[in-house]
Amino acid sequence: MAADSTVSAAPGAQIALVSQRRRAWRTFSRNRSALVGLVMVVLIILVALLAPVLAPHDPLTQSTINRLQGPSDGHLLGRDGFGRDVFSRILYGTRIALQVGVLSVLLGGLMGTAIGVAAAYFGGKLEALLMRLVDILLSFPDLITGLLVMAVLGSGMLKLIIAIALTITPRFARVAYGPTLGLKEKEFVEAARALGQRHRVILSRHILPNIGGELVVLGSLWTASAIRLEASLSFIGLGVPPPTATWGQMIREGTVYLSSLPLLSLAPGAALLITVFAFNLVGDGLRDVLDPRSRG
Amino acid sequence: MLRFIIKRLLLAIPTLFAVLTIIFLLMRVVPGDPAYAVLGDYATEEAVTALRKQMGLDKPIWEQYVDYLSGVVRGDLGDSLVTRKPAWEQIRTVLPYSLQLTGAAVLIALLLGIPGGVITAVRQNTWVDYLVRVLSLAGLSAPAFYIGLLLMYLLSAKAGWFPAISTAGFDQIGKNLHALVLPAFTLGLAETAYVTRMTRSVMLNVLSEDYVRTARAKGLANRTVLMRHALRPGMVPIVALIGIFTIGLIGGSVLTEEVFARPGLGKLMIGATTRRDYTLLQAIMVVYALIIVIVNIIVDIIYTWVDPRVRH
Repeated sequence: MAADSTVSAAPGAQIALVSQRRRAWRTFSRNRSALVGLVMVVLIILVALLAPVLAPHDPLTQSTINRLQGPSDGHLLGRDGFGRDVFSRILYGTRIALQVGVLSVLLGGLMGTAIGVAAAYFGGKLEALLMRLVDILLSFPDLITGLLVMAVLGSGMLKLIIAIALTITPRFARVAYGPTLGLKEKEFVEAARALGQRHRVILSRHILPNIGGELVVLGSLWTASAIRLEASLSFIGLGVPPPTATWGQMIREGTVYLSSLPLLSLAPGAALLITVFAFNLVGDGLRDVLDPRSRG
Repeated sequence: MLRFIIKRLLLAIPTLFAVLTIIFLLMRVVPGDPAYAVLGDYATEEAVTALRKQMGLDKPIWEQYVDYLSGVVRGDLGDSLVTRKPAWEQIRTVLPYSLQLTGAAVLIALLLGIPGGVITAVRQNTWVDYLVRVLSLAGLSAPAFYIGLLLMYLLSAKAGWFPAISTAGFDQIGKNLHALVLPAFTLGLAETAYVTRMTRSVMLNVLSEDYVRTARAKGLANRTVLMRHALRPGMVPIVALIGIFTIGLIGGSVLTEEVFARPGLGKLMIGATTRRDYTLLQAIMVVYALIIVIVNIIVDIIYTWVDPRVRH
C-alpha cells in the first residue's frame, strides 16, 4: 500500500531511538542491585539450560532403600522420600519454573495487550465491558483466581500456564489501556487515519511500538510473580503433576520431614526465593529506567 | 459523609452482581458432568440422575442462574456436594479463624511497615535504608509458605517456642493466641515488605515538597516536620494501597493456613478444590467476593476520612 511509506519514521528517529536505548542502559547499569539481579537471572537461565550436564544424578531415579537421607558425598542435599537426589531435582526444577513463568507471561501479555489496546482504541460498549471485566479480575487475589481456574481445568503443565496467564492478563490490559487512550488522540495517529490506513496497520505500526517498551519491562516484573504463583499452586498440589521435579511440589513433600531433614523443603524453597528475588531486582531496575521519579 | 457511604454501597451492587455471574459461569464450564465428578465414572444412571436433580442441573441454565442468585440474596449458598450439609455452615465455622489471622497480619504489617518506610526515607542511601530495602524485596519475593516453613523450622522445631500446628479454638483463648503468633507473622511479614516500600517512596515524594522545606526553614523540630507535615498527606496513598494489599493478603492466607494446617477459608477452599466439591467452592468464592467488596468500601471510607478533598 502506497500510504504505508508516506508515514514511515523520519531518518532522525532511528538515531534518537538508539541513544534513548543507550541512556536507558546507562541508568539501568548504574543501579548496582539491578545488575546483580541481571547476572543472577542469566546464571539461573544457564542452570535451566544445562541441567542435564550439571545434575549429578537423574532427577527421577528412585531408590527406596536409600530414602530420606541427609547430605552425603554423592548427594549434596540428601535424598527425598523416594530416594531421589534433592540437588538434581532442584536443578531440573529450574526448567519448570522458568518455562511456566516465561510462557504464562507471554500468553497473558498477548491477551492482556490485545484487550487493553482494543478497549482503548475502539472505545464504546466494548471498552466499558472489557475494562469492567479487567477491574473485576484485578480485584481477586492471583492465588484465588489461579486456584479456581485449576479447579475448573484440572491439572497439567499447559493448564497451569493458562491459569497463571489469566491472572496476568488483566494487569497487562490495564497498562496497555492507559497509553493507548492518549496515543489515539495524537496527531500522527489522526494523520494515519486521515490517510485511510486500516486499523490493523495503525495498531501495529503506530500504537504497539509506542507502548511496547513499557509492556516488556512489566513482563519482567510479572515473571517473578508468575514463578511464585507456579510454586504456590504446586505447593497446594495443583501444579505440574508428579514425578516431574517442581520446587513447589518438593517443598510440599519435604514439609513432613521439616524437623528431621529440613533441607528437603528449605533447599528448594531457597532456590525459589533466589529466582524470584533475581527477577524482582531486574524488574525494579527496569522500572527505575522507565520512571525516574521512583528513584527518589 | 453518610451520603458518600450510601452512594459507595449502591455502587458496589452492580460489581457484586457481575462477580456472582462470573463465578456462576466459571462453575458451569467445568469439563464433564459435575455429578459424575462427584460420584465417579462407575456411578449408576439413577444415582447420577438423582444427584443432577438435587444439584438443579436438570433445569435450564437461566433457571439455575436465577436460583443461584436468589439463593445468595437469601443467604443460601447451597449444599456441599461431599458432606451434603449447607456450605454456609462449614464456612461459618472457619471464617473467624481466617479473619483473626488476616487482622493480626494487617496489624503487624502496619506497625512494622510504616515506621520502616519512614526511617528508610529519612535515612535515604545509608546502610539502614539499604538493608531494609533488600529485606523488603526479599519479603516480597518469598511466597508465604516459605516464610512459614522457615519460621516453623527455627522457632518451633528448633527453639520449641511455638506450636507448629494447633487447632485450639476460641474457647481456649490463651492457646489459640499462642498458636496465632507464627501464622500471623508469616502472613504479616510479606505484607510488611509492601507497606515499607510503599511508605518509603511516598515519604520520599512528600519530603521533597516545598511546604516541607518551608516547615524546616521555619526552624520546626525534625519530629514535628515529619509527623505533622509529611506523614499526614503521605497517609493518603498508603491507605489507598492497604486495600490492595489486604486483598493480596487473602491469597497469602490460603497458603499460610495450608502450611500451619490451620482451619480457615483458604484451607477449606483447597479441600473443596481437591475433592471437586464445586458447590462448596462456589460458595467460598461468593464469600471471598463479598469480603473483597467490603474491604474496598471500607478503604474508600477511610480514604475520604484521611483526605477531605476526595469527598468532593
